[in-house]
Amino acid sequence: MNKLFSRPEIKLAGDCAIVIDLGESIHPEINAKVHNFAQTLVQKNYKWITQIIPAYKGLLIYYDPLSIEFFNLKKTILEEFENMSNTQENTNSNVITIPTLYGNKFGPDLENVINHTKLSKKEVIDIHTSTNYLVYAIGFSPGFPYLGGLSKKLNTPRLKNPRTKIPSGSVAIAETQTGIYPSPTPGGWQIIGRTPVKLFDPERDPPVLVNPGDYIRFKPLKSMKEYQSIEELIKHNKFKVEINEIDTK
Amino acid sequence: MKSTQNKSSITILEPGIFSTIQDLGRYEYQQFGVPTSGALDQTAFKIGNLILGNDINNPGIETTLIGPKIKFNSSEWICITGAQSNPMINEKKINMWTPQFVKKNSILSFGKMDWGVRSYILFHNTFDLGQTMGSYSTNTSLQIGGHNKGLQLNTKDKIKFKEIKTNLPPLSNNFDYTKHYINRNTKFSLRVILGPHDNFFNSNNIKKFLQSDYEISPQSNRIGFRLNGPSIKHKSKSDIISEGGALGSIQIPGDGQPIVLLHDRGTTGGYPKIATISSVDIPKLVQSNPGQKISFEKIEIEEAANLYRSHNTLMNGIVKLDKDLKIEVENSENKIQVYSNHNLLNTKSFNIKSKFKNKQFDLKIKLS
Repeated sequence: MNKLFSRPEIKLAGDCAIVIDLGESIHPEINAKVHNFAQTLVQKNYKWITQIIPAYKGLLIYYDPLSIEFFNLKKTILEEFENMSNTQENTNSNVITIPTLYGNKFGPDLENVINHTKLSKKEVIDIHTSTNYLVYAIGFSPGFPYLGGLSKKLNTPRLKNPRTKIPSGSVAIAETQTGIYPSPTPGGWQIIGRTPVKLFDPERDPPVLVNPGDYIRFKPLKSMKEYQSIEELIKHNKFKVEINEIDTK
Repeated sequence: MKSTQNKSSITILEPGIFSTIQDLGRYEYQQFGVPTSGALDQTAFKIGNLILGNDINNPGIETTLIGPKIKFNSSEWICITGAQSNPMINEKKINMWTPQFVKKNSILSFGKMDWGVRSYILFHNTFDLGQTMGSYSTNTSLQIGGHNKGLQLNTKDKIKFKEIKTNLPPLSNNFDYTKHYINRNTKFSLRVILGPHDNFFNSNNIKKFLQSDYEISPQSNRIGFRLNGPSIKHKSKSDIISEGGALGSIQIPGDGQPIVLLHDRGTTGGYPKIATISSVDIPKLVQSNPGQKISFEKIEIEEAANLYRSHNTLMNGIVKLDKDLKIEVENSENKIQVYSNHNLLNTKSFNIKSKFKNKQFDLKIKLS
């Protein structure tokens, strides 16, 4: 049961930003509304909106207080939301395939997951690669996708001692979440594999590979050799990421 | 001007404690999870550029506590703003908050910090560096931007400029920064707007937050300032579903000790934010040393918006075309480019006939 608000909640985040909540839980329907609303506002091209950061259930909107009074800002946002509710939503989404090598050197915590879940290595990999994970938001660090949809069977607590540096491309799980670390950051998630695909590249435009509303599907690689051959293709800009379109309705 | 002839550059002789290249930040990429970065004290940064007649976003160097020692391989106009750091050219003290002409082979150094933490070295010239995602700003923890893939300045670093640029900035100012800008109080308050998650705290805890003194912790950096003081308790949950965090928002993690989010903050986070510091008061905070006592004063959004607007009016009025600008360029080997819209042409002491407009010529001149 999702809790989508009939009217957005507007909260103050200082004198240049507001938070607009469209619901109060992590739910694909609320999240789709968030990204639709973000898109609507971007298309309107309001000069007083300086940045929009959509997340799970709401948006952070930066605005220019020199261009609009708070009262009018609030009014406009609510009106835009009313108008949007009547328009048809796009239900097609991209599924981006992320080739991943599980275990061994690249997945040092796969053993922890196996021990905790009492599953075999093959079962863990099969379960992890058999779901389309919804990208709810991008945040925390550059290109980091907040993914939803991890099977309860793989639920494993965080590491007791977080690592100071997680190699980029690491695929990890923690409790009900799974994710990919696009850049080397500290973190306490259980690392089960690694992908050679770059989710974030400052030289690329746009720098991110996946967007909110997309889905990610992990595809197991058979060997280090296969991993390295993809890595080589990526190095020479010759790797084509597999993207499939699905209808989510 | 052929770029091959351009040897304009500076060399870092000593880096200081933590000196980085910054501009106002990269704002377009927050939706991709990229922090804004940018000068912590944006007021001082903007004023420096305004004084030099620059675009306010022209990159400069942010210093921290102990400034760098820099050799100038070309003559450049600079302006130093922010923390009172006693800058010197060839060991002779120079004024801050005014344009300064630094001759080729001179050395810029800094003395004892009298007030504040972060100074800004702004240049009339522009660094010949590629922008990363639309900005020159350095983020050392993510290794993005700056002059060397997100590193702080280091000894022997050479930073080139885009052009040879020794034309006089046509602007000056007579604004008294000591009155309007510098705060020497041992304790001061920062104005805050409650929210976005003040509903995570009961009225007693909001009262405690507004009536207590907090001390800036040594564990403070460009990502955030940690504060030590009376612990703020959540009504129940101490986490939220992750969402975007604004500049200056004060988050309260499980231990109840506030953290102010600053320019290198992650774009999203999962702690509730009790209040957000008014934009115009951020410089006061970032110019404070660990141990500084601060408190918070609640204001309403309308008042905060008025403060923002009057600050902007103040900034717009800081720099005027100065008809009595007195600048010495004695024995300079430099060429001075004169543009037709260069307002100095109208001054008495700088009388250049219109047929020389847009021409380039060698000039030896002593203005008095």
